[in-house]
Amino acid sequence: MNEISPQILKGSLSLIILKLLSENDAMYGYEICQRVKEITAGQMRVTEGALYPALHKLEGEGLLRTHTELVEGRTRKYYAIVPDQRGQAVSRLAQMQVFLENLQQVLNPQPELKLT
Amino acid sequence: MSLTYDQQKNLRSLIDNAGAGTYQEVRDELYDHLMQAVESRMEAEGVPFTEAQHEALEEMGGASGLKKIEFGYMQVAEKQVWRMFKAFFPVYFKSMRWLIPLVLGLTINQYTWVSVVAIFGYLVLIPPALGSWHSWDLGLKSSGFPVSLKMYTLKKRTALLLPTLGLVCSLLLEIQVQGIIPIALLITVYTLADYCLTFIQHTRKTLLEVAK
Repeated sequence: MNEISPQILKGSLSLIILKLLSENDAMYGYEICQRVKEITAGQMRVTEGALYPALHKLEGEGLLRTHTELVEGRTRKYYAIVPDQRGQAVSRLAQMQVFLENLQQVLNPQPELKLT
Repeated sequence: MSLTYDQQKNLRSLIDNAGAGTYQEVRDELYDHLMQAVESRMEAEGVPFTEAQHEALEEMGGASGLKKIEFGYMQVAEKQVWRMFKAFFPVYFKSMRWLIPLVLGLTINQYTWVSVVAIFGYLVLIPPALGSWHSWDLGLKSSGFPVSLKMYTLKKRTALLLPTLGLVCSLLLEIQVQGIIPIALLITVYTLADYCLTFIQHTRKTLLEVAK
């Protein structure tokens, strides 16, 4: 199967980030990239050029908060969902879920059963 | 696998030479990412440092990719500043409190009125000028050292209080032209206090977030 188109990925990157962070306390940029690659068996590759702006944008919107830790002599920045905003994050993910279900209907419509 | 001191220095230079080392926060983040990408490649694939470094940099979009990441970070911070301006000004001017000093100034004499009008001229003109992209960018380029984006954002936001300089100038003008007129002085001080308190009230949360 071919790799996912970057355009499709770009539109859903913030949701991918929110989903991963909702399942983990805090993650850093490289960890997020690797986790996506791992879950999708390499089908989806999040580029750093797309990831960091998306992370910073979510931070700017107030959905994510950051903290830094010193790891092996260098500063590592961790991202986590702001506890107060968890509800909003979950809501966005739920909306996406509904959208995907509807999209699935459009792309693969189930044939109607007609009783004769 | 830990990199040697020279290899680490090499990676830092890579980021600085790409022009993405202006802000401390971005520099640290990119450096950490690059280090991990290089280390994991060297460990998993057994490639030498130069090859791992080249591949990791390519994956990040090369030098231009690093610069773009910094640019994106800066844009987000810039938007936060503008959002604060846009939230504050309509609230302040819709309240119509700013009319009080103008009307009072007019009832005293023309000089007081002119100085109060000048106050509001500063209030309207200076913050957007200070909040502009170019003033930020130029200020950073002159420094030459990585600056903390958070601290710079904080300074830029509190620069909204700089119109107080305009107020002080207006006050001095009043004193020079008319001598000290208590009522004019009161009007100027009232305008200053009202503006500052409103600004702090509406931006306190944002300022505290940036400062931490």
